[in-house]
Amino acid sequence: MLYVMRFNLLIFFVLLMVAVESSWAQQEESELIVEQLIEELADELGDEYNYDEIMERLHHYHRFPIDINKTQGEELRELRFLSSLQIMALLTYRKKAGQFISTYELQSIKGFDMATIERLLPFITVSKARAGKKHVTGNTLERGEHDIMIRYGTVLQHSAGYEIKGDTGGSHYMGSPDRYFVRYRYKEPKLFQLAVNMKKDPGEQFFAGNNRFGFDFYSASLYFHDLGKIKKLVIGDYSLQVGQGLSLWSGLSFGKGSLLQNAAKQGLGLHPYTSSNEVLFLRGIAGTFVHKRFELTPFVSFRKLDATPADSAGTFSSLGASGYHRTSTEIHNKAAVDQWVYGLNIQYQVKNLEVGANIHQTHFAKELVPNQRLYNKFSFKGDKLFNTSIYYQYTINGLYLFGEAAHSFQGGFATVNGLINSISHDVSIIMLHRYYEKDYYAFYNQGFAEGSEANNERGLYVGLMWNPSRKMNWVGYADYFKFPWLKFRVDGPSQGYDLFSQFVYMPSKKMKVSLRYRFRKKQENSGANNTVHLLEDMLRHQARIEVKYSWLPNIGFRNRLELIRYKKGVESNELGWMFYHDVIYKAMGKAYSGNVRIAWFKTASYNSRIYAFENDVLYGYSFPAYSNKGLRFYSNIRYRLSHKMTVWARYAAFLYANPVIGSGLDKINGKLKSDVRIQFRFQF
Amino acid sequence: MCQPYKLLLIICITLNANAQVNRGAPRVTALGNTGASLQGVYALAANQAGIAKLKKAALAAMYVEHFIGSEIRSHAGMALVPGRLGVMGMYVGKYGLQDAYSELKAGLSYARMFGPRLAMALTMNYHQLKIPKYGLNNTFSAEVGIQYFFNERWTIGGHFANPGNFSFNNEAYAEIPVRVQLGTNYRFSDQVLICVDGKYSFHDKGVDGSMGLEYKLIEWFVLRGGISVNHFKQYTGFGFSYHQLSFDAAATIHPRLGISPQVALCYAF
Repeated sequence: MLYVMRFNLLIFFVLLMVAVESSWAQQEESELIVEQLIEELADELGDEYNYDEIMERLHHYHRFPIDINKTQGEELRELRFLSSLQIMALLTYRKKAGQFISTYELQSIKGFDMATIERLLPFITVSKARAGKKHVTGNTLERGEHDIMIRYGTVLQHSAGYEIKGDTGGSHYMGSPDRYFVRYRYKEPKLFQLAVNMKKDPGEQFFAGNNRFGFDFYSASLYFHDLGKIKKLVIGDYSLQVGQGLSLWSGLSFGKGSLLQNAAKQGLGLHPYTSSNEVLFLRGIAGTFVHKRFELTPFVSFRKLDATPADSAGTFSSLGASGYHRTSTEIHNKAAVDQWVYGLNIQYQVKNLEVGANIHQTHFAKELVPNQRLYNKFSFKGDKLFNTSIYYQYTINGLYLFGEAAHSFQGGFATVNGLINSISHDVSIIMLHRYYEKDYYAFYNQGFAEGSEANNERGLYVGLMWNPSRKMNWVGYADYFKFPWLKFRVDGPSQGYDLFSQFVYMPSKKMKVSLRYRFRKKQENSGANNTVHLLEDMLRHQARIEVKYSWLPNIGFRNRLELIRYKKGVESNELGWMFYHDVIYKAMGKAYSGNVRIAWFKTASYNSRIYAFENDVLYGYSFPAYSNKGLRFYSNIRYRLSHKMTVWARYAAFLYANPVIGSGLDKINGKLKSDVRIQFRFQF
Repeated sequence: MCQPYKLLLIICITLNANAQVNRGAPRVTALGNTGASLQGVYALAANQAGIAKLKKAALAAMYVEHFIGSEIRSHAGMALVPGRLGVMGMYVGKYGLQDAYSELKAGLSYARMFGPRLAMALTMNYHQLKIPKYGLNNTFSAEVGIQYFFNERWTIGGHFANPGNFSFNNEAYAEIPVRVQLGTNYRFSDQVLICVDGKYSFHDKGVDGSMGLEYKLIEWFVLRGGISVNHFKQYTGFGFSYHQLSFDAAATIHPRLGISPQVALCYAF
């Protein structure tokens, strides 16, 4: 009843806001562009990752565009969709041809096709600083700005985890199904930035029990930049991204997808950590110091990590990766082990060459003793791990070379090397070879891999990008990989490959058609419940047709049809499909905007699930799996109350054919699973 | 390697010959085995219509080691002579294990242009299968090839191998593949050529797709790479040319069976 009342209030509130108008188009435009980009970047990653940090960064550069007459390339790297080759081509062009007069000049730069230029334009500007005039940009922050965002969300149907009462003794969720998120930013231009995140996930306690001070997760960072020789300084939570991610890469990382250039990682070095992900970051103090062509980044981090206790006392068997603290077991495992990480990264840059080296130690207060499984035979054991790596990137005449070689002391080696080459004005090729030994290990390892991290894998990835005209482009890749040692649910050395092809046609600015096909083949244990598992081939074919079009002013439409065929061994052969229709109201000059989706889907099981990116409230994201048979609906509304305050609301629902949804503690008796979100933002 | 094992291996490979064993020339191999629309002397081992435009006589020889360590090899010699009425070509190739198994194929091709854009070729082949101590078998087959040049950059081609479904007699369980291959290539610039082929094999009812890229790094040196999807294989190679002489090398990388390197030498008069 409480939830029905809440929902009615929500509807009333939203309708009230829609009745008023004011002018504010920029943020709306920004949200659409950023969401489209995130969808391309995130692509196949699903909902296990947090995209809020990259979203925040893109929104920032949309609001305060990068001056391509001033940048040294670092900000362009942060956008994530430009390759190093493209960035280098832009800087070289500027050096040779002089400063840009207009963004139209981008078309003259080698490697800049129309799709790239269209992606880039919202995030750049061209200053009028020519012939020694003082640099001026039309859109910079002149004074400090506070930014507070509060988000509330909940699932309206109670799942089994909330129905079980504590006194029955069964595992259950200790907190309410509500989700709270508070985000605060203060930016003082040209000096520092303060970022604070506070979060409570559904099922976690709030001002009670283990979280008697309120939220379950707190994160804060104070970031200073451009202080003479101190290029960057972060106190609090930070991320370090160096080389190709074999040794040290915290925060979000992209790999395979339709943006092929992301296979070559472009490390951002030290950055404040502003994501709500509870796992992939460092906490302490770190700084980047510049001396001539050298950059030195010493860092130290101390965190209390979630860990599962091992059988013997004073040890643990694995680190937690979910960030959930809902049940008594999850709460018991929370902050169960102390982790120290400290080290140094050195980088040297001269002309088109950048080389670097890093060394760091990870130290736990308890010993890590993985479970006695054969696939864990080469996993890291102990309480101290030394990691080191060297990395490089070099650009010459349209050829970009990159790579990293890493070593974990008392363990193995890992190396990745690749190239991107513009082999003609409309064709580029990317190749990447990887060789990761089975006993190589690093705790912040996010190297390019088919598996979840860069170890126990060998492979060759080859991709082609073709832009035959301004209106068309095609990308394709083939990735072959081998796992020399056993993996979880793979009781033998295994191999597979991944093929991808995507053709995009944009006949006009109002229409975009894309066709995509992806085929993946891997080996897994057979489904039979045997003591000894044989490996079976698991095949996944995915085909997608998507059309975006707009024939009415301010209204855009998007349709997608996705088909999937999943086959494992000789017995399992599943088909699935999903179709959606989106209507996006783009309120240029209006205070409100919104979008709606209705989707139909049918898949034989969770194995043939289909992921689809969903629009959400600002900095929120939704990437759910559509599986089994049902309907999906969601609606987002944004309303600008004043130039300082904006509100977002979202309602989303799955309506399934089956009378029971989910399993275990997430089981819901009923066909409907719906959730609401509401978010306020104050900027002053 | 002991003889029984060799024999078993070759029988296994021969039974699935279309999919696993590539007897094309290095340039074609390195391009993912995409030979349907390619030109040059090595078209004699792929789509013979690709010799119709050639103006110079040429001789070529090639060598393949199938799956390093298996001792299965192919040797082949090719020759072509342009004439007033078209281009004549000859291919003689041998495939097998020394003293254990051998397949001989000798083909005579005739190719000519029909107008500036259309090329066609007809090939007659003689096949001999020999297994010492077991016997010897002979048969004939034909191949038909066609290529069409839309312009200097874009070509399509089709090739039908053994349309009459000729085979060895029942004593020998070895097939002469019946296969249709369609392909296209596009020259993006003087440096870049991309080829795409699709094949259908009537015996195993399998469809294969392949793709290759040739990149001329400098005037006398090219790099090549390709993939095929059914079965999944990767290909790589390079080529040198020096005046009338050219040298090509390629490797087929099969995920399970390993690497098959090959080399070829060609002299154009």
